[in-house]
Amino acid sequence: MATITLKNITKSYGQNKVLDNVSLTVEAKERIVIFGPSGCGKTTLLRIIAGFVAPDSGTLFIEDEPVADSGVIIKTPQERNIGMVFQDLALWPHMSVKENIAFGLKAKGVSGAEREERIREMLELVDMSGYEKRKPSQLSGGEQQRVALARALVLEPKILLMDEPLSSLDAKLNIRLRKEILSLQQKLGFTLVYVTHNEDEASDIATRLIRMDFGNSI
Amino acid sequence: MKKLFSVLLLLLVTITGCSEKEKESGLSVTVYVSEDQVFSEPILKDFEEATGIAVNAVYDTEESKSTGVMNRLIAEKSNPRADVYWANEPIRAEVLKQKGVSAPIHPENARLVPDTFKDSEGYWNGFSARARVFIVNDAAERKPMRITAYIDPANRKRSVIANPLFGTTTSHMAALGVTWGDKKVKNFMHSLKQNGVSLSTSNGESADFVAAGRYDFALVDSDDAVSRIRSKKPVFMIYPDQQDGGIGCFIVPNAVVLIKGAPHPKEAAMLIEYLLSKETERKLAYADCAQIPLHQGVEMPPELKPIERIKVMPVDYGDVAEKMIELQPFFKEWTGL
Amino acid sequence: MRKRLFLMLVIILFAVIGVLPLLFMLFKSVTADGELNLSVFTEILATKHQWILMYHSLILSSAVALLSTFAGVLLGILFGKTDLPFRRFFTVLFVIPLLIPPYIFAISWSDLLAGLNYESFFGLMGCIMVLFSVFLPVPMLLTIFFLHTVDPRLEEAGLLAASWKEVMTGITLPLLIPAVILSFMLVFILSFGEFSVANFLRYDVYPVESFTLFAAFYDAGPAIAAALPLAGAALLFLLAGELFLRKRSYRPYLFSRYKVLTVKLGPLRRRLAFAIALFGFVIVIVPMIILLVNSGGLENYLEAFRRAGDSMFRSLGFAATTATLMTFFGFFIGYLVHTKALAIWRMADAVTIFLFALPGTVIGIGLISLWNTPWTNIVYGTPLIVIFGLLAKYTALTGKVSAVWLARIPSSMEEAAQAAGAGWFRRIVFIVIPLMWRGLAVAWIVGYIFSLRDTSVTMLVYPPGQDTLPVRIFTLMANGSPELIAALCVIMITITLLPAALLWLILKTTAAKVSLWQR
Repeated sequence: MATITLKNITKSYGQNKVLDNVSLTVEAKERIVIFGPSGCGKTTLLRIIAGFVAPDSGTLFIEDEPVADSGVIIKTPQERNIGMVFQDLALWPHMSVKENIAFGLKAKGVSGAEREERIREMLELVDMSGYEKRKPSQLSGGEQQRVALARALVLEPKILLMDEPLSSLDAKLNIRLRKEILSLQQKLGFTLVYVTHNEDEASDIATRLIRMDFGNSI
Repeated sequence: MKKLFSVLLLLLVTITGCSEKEKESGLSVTVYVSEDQVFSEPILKDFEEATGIAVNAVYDTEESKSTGVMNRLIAEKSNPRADVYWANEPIRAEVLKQKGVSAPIHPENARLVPDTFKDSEGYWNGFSARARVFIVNDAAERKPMRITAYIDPANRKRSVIANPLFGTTTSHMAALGVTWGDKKVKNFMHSLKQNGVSLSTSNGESADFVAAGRYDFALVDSDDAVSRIRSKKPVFMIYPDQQDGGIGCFIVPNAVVLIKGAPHPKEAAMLIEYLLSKETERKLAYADCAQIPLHQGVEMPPELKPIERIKVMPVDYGDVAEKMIELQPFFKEWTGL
Repeated sequence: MRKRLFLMLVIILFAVIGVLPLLFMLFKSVTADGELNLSVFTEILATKHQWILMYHSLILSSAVALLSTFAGVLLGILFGKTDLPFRRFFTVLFVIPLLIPPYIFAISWSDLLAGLNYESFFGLMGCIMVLFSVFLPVPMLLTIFFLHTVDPRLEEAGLLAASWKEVMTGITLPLLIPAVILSFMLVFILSFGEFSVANFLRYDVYPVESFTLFAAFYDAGPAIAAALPLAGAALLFLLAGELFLRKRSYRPYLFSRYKVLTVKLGPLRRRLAFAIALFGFVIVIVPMIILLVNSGGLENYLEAFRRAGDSMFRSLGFAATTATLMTFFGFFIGYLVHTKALAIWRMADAVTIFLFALPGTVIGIGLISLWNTPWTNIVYGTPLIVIFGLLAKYTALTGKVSAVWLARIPSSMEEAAQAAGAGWFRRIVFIVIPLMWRGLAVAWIVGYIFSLRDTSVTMLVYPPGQDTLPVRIFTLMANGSPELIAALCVIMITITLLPAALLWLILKTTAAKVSLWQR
């Protein structure tokens, strides 16, 4: 069963055609890396999968169910159960680490005791136990990265989207976190769609590498 | 979100809850006032005390020519809010009559007021008046006895007048238009320019200029003159054109108007009687506005002359109102707008 | 879906409050006596007098806009970009006149100059001077704000090859052009609609006339017709500015907030500070001293409280309530404009700004013509009508503040919450509002101050017996003793500045912890 299917997706911003008739099928538990120069439409592709943007034409299926079709969003992001780690991480600065992770669980109506348990497990998994009360501004870059991962994964998504998540880290930390992401993926078994412009990073993570060049996937 | 809505709702309820005040009696009257608030408010407070009827007032100021009250009265015509309009001159009351905003009433207390100072059909009733007088500096060599003193070459550059686009000066010029005819009043105003008469922004300013000795005399409202006399400035007051065959002194009474469709007609009638009473006239005579009572035998301060001893310019205020609108473009042209 | 529905509801509600009265009034004026009748308009437009007034208005607003933009940008650069001593203090000092009803400064100046027997203060010169000091803070604050949008690297690149003087004129100033244009536009609009100063100083301008036309002709039709060119002028002006700014595409700038590189003034520092202190003393402190001196002793204040205490409390209540509602509307309209969630976002934006540019008197007349019916007493007979008027006129301000603040929050903040499964209301309440509460506080202060100082709308619609303090001062001005008026003005200044200063302090002490996205 294909987890994500893109069928003839096209998207333009004004005159600028960002995605031109892109088709792609992602199988369960695959690790797809989309790789290409800045501005070639990688992020747009990711945002279409997440549901923030509707494709101008073409259809997007998640688990064989159409979720977006020619300008119409059929399922909103909050209904798709997709995890996402943003390029700027988008940790909410006014919430503590724990509150950041708890937010989605609360929205989904997970009850108190179960919520506590899942947050604890998740923090353990990303090796951030004991940091519950810290604010994001009190964390290092790598720690922020782990919190962002924990926040995305606590809802047990089938799909995790990552948009150049490691681009702001130094080379050493970058390599270490790659490994952690890989091990998490193996442990939890989600499908990973990973966007980067770093070739090294791409080849490290990918089970399948997709090169994009201004509107067209190759 | 629900919380937010309930807070907003609560807010709205509180706001709309604090509507017009009503005293213990549960009675109230709404009055729109063009007489200066400084003078009118105490009178209305006294009325509240005396009758237990709460007064809700909207004030306006002629001096700043904002005329918001007239705007409202006309805009509200289809659904009147005001019961009574207290105008500080009868011209606006006349306009309201023409616009069908007011209703006739024949109050008991108006019976003894001379007919000149009330509408024959009862659409407005006059009380406590200002007179248009000369304020003259003690050091002036010549006393202006007639309004034509302004255009006497002997007084060249010695006098000042308030801008005829505003206030009582406008009505005064219009009244002259009614008395003399258009041609003569236009000639008169052209001569003012030729004779070097200065323009001030208000009667108050004219009075100050004369008090300071910058000019010999100015045509002002009697209250402007009286206040300078009371504060011991070196000035005195002359009622113009009092001699035999003279045109007389232009009098500007307050005018009270009953609004057509007034929500509280009974209370309105009571307030109108109260404003037209000798007691109110006495208070307004002693107040800083020093207005001349229109009833005979009302006690008044020595600076004022009883109305029966003034030779009054006999004009119909309805005619003056019409003339004012007619002359408006000429005034504007004259002031150079 | 809920998001679009809710935003739609907010917009409709705002349209009912702000736009419907105007449409209703327009409809009434052209269909006098039940027939379509455009003659009132053609008559008005054919009068030479109207054009003279329009000319007066244009002269006054252009002069004020030019002068205050020039001086304000200069001050903004000095306070926002140099090491001038006391620059923070100066910033606060020069902002004060904007917070207070402008006619108070007119009163104070004419008191002083009348004492000196100086006549020519009345008329154009006086108006320019008062409005200049009142609106000077607008370009000043905008410049300080826009200085943060200049990437310091651009300046550093220039400094490698040239001195600060060349960098300022060649790089920094050109980057500030949007601030200059925006300032000019804003000041122009504000002085164009301002009538209390021109009214007090007896300079005939168009808004005063549209207000008094009612009185001169005693007819709503011509008054509305006279107001129309004003609306047209405001609209044209907005369009021109919008087109120009869009071409320059300044919007992306707003997203960035850089640290400002400081220019060292060197030996000039002290002399400049002294000159500015002197300038501030003359245009801000002197008028306030005059009022304080004129207000005399305690007995005048007691008298002031006796005569206007109730108006004062009402003013505070109205302003606080209106500011709260205005923040609500402003936030959601700002949100709409920022996210473009509905196709009508541009229209909503334009309408709020148009209402802001429209003289308050026109809004007031519109409100009366719509709401004064026996069935709508709950609006017209209560303070709700005042609140409606103020909302219509000033929501543009809170909307703009909100939009600018929202632009600083990365969209990923809300998207992350969306990916985490949160619905729209949850995202607004737990993510967006907490992230911009300082922006909302600023919007609230702005709404509070502008509601508190308003006379143009309030004067026309306040329910009988329920005036506000600025209105009461305005009406007591006729023949009221100068001491009493001065005391009232001092009270007015106090109740404006105190809450504003208090909130400002709270904002300062809870100073922004360096937010993640402001690295």
